[in-house]
Order: sequence, then C-alpha cells, then structure tokens
Amino acid sequence: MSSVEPLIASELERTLPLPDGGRADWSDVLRRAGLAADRKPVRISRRGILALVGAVAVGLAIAAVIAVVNPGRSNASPVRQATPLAQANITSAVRRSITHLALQTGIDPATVVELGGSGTGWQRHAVLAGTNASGATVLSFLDGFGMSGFVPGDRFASASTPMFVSDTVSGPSTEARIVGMVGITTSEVTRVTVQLAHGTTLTLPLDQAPGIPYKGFSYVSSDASTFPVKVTAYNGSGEVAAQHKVDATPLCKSSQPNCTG
Amino acid sequence: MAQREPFTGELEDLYRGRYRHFLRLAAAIVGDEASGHDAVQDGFAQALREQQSFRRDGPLEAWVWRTVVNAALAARRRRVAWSEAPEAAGITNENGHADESAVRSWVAALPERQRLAVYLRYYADLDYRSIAQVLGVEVGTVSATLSSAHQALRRLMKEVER
Repeated sequence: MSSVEPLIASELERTLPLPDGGRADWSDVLRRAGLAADRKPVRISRRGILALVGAVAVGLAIAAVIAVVNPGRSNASPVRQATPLAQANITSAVRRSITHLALQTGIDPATVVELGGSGTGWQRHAVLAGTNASGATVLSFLDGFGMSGFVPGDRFASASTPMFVSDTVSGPSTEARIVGMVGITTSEVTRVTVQLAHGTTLTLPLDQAPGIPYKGFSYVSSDASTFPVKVTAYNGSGEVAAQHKVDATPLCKSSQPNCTG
Repeated sequence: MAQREPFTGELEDLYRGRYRHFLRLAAAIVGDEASGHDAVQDGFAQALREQQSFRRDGPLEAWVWRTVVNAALAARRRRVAWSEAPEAAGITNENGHADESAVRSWVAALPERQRLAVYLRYYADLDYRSIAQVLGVEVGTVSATLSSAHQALRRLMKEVER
C-alpha cells in the first residue's frame, strides 16, 4: 500500500460515508426488470379481465391528460442540502473574497452557505445565502464574472415572483462560449427544469438550508447544443409558477466585434 | 408457472447484503443519493433481465458491479451538463494546506478509468481481480491504473503543500 492510500481511503470515507440502506427495495428492482414479485395465482373471470382492461385504459387516459395539463407534477427536483462556505467547491481566493464582502456588509461568514453550485474554477455558479444582523436572509450571486453584493432575498423572489434567474454569457464579444445561469426560488417551488438548445429538458436539483426561505440552483454549459434556453419553475401542484428565457446572444454582432467601443 | 431464472436468488441476496455499497459507489458517480439509488435499481434490474448471459467466467458480484457502474455512468452522462462532478462537492481547503477533503475533488478530476478504479477500490472494497472484471481489463492494468491515480494524487498534494 502506498503512502497516499490510507489518506485517500479515510478521506473518501469521510466525505461519502456508507449511506443508509433504507431505500433498498427489491420489489422495485423486480418491477424495473419487468418481473412481477412473487405472488399467489389469482383466478380472474373473463368479465373481470374486461373490467380490469377498461379500468387500466381509463387510468392511462386520465394520467395522459394530467401529464399534458400539468407536466411538472411528476419528478420533483432532487433536494440537496446547502454547502457551508468553508466546504464549498470554490478557490481559496474566492472564499476569501466572499468572507471579506460578508464581513464588510455585517454578515457573519459562518452563516454563509452555497446553494445550487455547479461548474468549477472561475466558472463556478452558485447562490450564496447568509443572515444579516437583523436576521434577514441575504443573497449574493456568484457566476463567471464575479459575485454580486449581499442583498435581501425578498428583492429577488416573493410569492408574486417565485423565481429569479441571472444568466451569463462568456466568450469573445461575438461568440457565446459558455452560458450559465444561477437562480433562486421561493419554497413553494418544488421543481425547476431547464430546456436545452437541442431540445432536451433536464430537472435541476434544488439546494436548501434550514432557516433560509429560498432554494438555489444553477447550470453551466460550454457546449452550444446544451446551452440553457428556458428555465421553468413548478409548484407542488405541478403548475408553472414562473419561466425565464435565457439570453445567450453574444454581446456584439460578428460584423461589429467592437460594438462596445 | 414461469420457471425462476437461475441467479435471481443470488442477485437478491447480493442486493440485500451489499445495497449500501452499491448505492455509495453509484451516488459517487452520478452525483446524489437519489440518482445513485436509481442507478442501483436499474443496474440490478438489467442484471435480472440478462442473467442468462452471465457465463460464470468470474464472480457474479463483479458482473453485477459492472452493470451498476454502467447504469451509473449512463445516468451521469444524461445529466453531466448541469451538474458538477458529485465528488467535487464538499471540498475544503482550510488554511491553505493540502487538506484531506481536497482529495475528493482531485479524485473527481482523474481520468475516468482511474476514477472508477479508485471508487471500486475504496467505496466498493473490491480487490484488484474483481476491479479488473468490473472494468473489463487485466489485473495488471488495474494495478497500473491505481498506481497512476495514487501518483497523481500524491503529486497534487505536494503541489498544494508547496
């Protein structure tokens, strides 16, 4: 065993300990395999079969109608717990900047957590949430260009505007090479999806933290086919609560690469 | 009554006995526990469906690990655009030292085969022979792959400490 092996072993164990086995469900495996779980044979009359087929058909029709009317009802976003600032996947320089800004604006850095982080290095996108001296939740948006100041969260999202999204386009003035977005929702939102340029729709995870009435998410792509196009938030009933169109237009037209002067 | 498939009982025993290890590895690959659970379920479901193709040229467990790893990789590819490497979460770098938690992000940055070999070694507790069967390579290749991964991690640690 080389000298790094014990460190790797202990660190991987510490950061991802053996999970709880409560989710284990063998009958679900059998269903997914197309094998019914063992059960006693049941004798069903022809009339019973017809009734069963009819009931299934009606059920499928109702489900189809619900799916069309409320596409967001199923598949709630995975919920993740926020990451404390000290453990966020950011460089030490960015961490120091966040700490400095928090202290400058009267926020205890120990209360700051990262919500919905994605991307790495200078393209890290995330919402930073903290608590100010008045006990209010304040938010800052970290993206490829830097970070905003900490601002009370109710300026971004409320019952009437349950989602706020900030998007960024990076690259030369005439070309979008990296498109990212970072956003928050109010707690009533249970699912956020992003439609990509090639048409696929992904359900994004939502990060939350105790005492913070917002959920955070983000998405970053450096592939034009998977650039985000539209973000949709759904409430617990599967209804669309808010939508946001991502503008991935480069700053300048190719004919005017120095359009900003 | 339909005949029971030959390995269903063994697969069920393996699932019940090692579910948590399968879940941990799949979660590490995919990015979260819920998706990891899905990958485990799908991997075992595939193993059940295709158990007739298992030729007993190695342990059944290694064959199942392979199906679960493949299910997790497929799930990861479907979602890679929006999520950072799951294993990259939870990194700390306290006081600028080569802190231990950075190891996880470094593992995440390894080439895929090295990363999978590390996961199979440390999260699944598999020996080199089993890892070779899961990855479809020779035992010597596993040894070389893990050695490369260890060297890369050792080098990163030294760079940070410098």
